[in-house]
Amino acid sequence: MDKSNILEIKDLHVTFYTEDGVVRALHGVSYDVPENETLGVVGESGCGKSVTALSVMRLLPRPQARVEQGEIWFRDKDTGEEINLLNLPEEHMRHIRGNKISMIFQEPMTALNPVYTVGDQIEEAVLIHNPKMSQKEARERAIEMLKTVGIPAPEKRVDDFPHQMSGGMRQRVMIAMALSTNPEILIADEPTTALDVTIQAQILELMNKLQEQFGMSIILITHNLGVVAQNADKIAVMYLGRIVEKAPVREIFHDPKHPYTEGLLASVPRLDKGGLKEHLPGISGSLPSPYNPPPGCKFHPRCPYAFDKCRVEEPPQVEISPGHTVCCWLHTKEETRHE
Amino acid sequence: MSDNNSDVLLEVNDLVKWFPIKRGFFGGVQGNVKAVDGVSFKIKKGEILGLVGETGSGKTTIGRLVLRLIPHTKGQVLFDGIDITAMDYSKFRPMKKDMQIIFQDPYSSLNPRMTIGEIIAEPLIVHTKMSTKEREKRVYELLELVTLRPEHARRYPHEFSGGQRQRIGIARALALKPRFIVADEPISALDVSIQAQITNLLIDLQGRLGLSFLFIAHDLSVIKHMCDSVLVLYLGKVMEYGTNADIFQQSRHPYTQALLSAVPVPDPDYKRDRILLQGEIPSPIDPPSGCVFHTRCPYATDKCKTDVPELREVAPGHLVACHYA
Repeated sequence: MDKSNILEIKDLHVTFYTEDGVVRALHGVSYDVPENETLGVVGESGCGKSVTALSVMRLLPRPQARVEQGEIWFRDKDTGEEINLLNLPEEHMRHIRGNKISMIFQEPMTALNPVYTVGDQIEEAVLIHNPKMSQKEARERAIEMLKTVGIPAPEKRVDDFPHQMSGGMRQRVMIAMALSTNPEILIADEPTTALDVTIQAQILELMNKLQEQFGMSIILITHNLGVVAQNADKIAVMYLGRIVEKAPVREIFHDPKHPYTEGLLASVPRLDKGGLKEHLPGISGSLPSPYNPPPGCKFHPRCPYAFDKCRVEEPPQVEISPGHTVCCWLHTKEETRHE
Repeated sequence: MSDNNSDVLLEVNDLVKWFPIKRGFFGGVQGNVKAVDGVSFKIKKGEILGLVGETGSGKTTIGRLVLRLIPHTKGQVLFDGIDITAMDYSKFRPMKKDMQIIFQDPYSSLNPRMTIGEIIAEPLIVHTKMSTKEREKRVYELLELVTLRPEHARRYPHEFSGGQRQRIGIARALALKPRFIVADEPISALDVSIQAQITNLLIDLQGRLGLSFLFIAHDLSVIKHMCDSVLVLYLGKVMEYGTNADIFQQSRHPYTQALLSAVPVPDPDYKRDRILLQGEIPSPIDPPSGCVFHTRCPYATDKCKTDVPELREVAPGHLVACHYA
C-alpha cells in the first residue's frame, strides 16, 4: 500500500446472480482513499457506487453477490498492519465494520431501529466495540456524540425514539452513531439526498467540521455533482460498473476528459451561469440494462464521439496527468488508437 | 405583477387550506395545520411560474388546490376569469381537460396493468367523443410529441425506464390539449442525465404549445433554468414573489438568500457568502408568531417575533414579506 493511503481498492469484480440473470455490477474498480481526505464517488443509478461501498463493508447481499476478483487493502492505524478485507474472517471483520470503518445511509428512518431510543442505539454501537466500558460511560459517550453533531439539548434527546425526530436530526444521529467509535473511514452513501437544501448544507458542513476534528477519511457517494464539488478532494466518476474517470476535484470540473463526465456536467442547470430556458446539452439515450450491457466501451451508445474501436473493445485506464486517469479511446496514445 | 388581465390564465387570491388535526379513535378535531395560509399569484398565458420551498411549505398542496383535486378552505382560484372553487363540481368537470398534472414519481403514477396506449387514451375516453380510430391517431401523435415510438403503445409501464415513463406521463397530461399544467417535481426522481432530457422536453413543449405551467420544485437551479417568475414559500406563506431576475439576481428576503446560498454548485472554485440557517423548519401545527421565518432568520429582531410582515411591493412586480427588505 502507498504510505499516504488508508484504503486501496484494486481491480474489484463483483457479480450478482439473480433470478432475472447475471449482472456484472463491478468490473475492475480500483480507487485509493488517502488519509484525512474526502473521495467523492459520482454516478447514476446502477453504476456500482453503492456496491463498491458495500464490498468494503463486506455487506454485499448473499448468496446473490459474489466477489469474483480483486483486493481491498486497509491500513489499521493502531497496529500499522495492512489487511486485505476480502480475506478477513468474519469475526475479525466485525472489529473493523462499524468500528474502524463506519457507514451512513441515505434514508435515516430505515437505518435506525424504531423501537429503541437513539441513545440505546448509539450505546449499543459503543459497547460492542468497547466491551470494557460501563453502561453509564456509554450513555455519557452517546450524549457527548449527540452534542458533537449539533443536536440541541442532547441530555433530553438521547431518550427520544427515531420517530420523534426530523429527517435532518435522524441523519445527525446516524452520524453520531457512525463516529461514536472514532472510525478511520466514514462511508457516506447519499447522506443528504433525502434532506431539504438548508438541512443538506448543515449536514455537509458538519461532516467537514468533524473530519477536521477527528482526522478521518470520507468516501462521499452521491449523484449530485454540486455536493462533491465543494466537499471532496478527489473524484471518481462511475458508469455501469467501471470507474471511467478519476482526478483531483478541480480537474474533474474544469477539465473533464471522459465524454460521460463532460455530459454529466452539461446535464445540470446551474445557479452560477446559464440562461432562462436554454437547451441543456446533456447526454442522449438512456442507461443500458445492466443485464445486457453494450459491448466495447459501455458508454459508446450514448457517446457523441464514439468511433469503431469503441464499439468492440473496452478502453484501458490511462493516466493522462499525475493523479488523473481516464478510460476512453480518445485519450489513449495515438499508436494504440489506430492499431 | 403588472398585468393586462386578459393575459392572465390562472389567478389565485388569498388561498387558504387548513387540514384538521384529529386525535383519538373518534376523531375530535384538535386544531388545524395551516398548510397554505393566504397565498396569491397569477400565471399569464405561456408563462412558467415556479413554486419553491422546503418540506412542509405547502407547494404540493397549492398544486392540488388549483386543480381542485382537494377542497380549499378559503380564497379564490380563477381560471380564465372563472372562479372554479365556487362552481358546482358538475360544471367544473368539463373544465378539467384544460388543466392537467404531471406527477413526481413515474413509477407509481402509471397503472401497471394498462398498456401505454390505454394510459394515454384514457383521458380521451373520459372527456371526448372520439372514435377508436381517432383516439389511436391521437395516441400516436402524442407519443411522437414526447419522442417515443408508435410501437410503444402496446407495451406496459414496467418495460420502460424512469425517463421514458415520465415522457408517458407528459403525453397523458397533453392528451386533451390543456392550456395549463401543474408539474409537481417532474424531474426530481430521475437520473441526472435523464433530468436534462426531460427538462429540455418540457421547455420545448411549453414554447411550442404555448402552455402555462405551475412548476413545483425544491431545486433552485432547475427553477432558475425554467421559470419566468418564482414564488418562494415557507410554512404555507409567501416569502418572496417576483420575476426570475428579481429572485435570482436581487433577492431581498433572508430566506430566499439562505436557500440560494445552500444550493450546491458544481464548481469547486465558486465563492459566495454562505448563510447557514440554524435549526429546522418549525411544525406547521404550531407555527412561530410574527414572521414565521424569525426562528431561523439570522437578522431577526424583536419586531419579527410579534408583527407579521406584510407582503409588500419593493419594486414593480417584486413582492417581499420582510420588515427589513
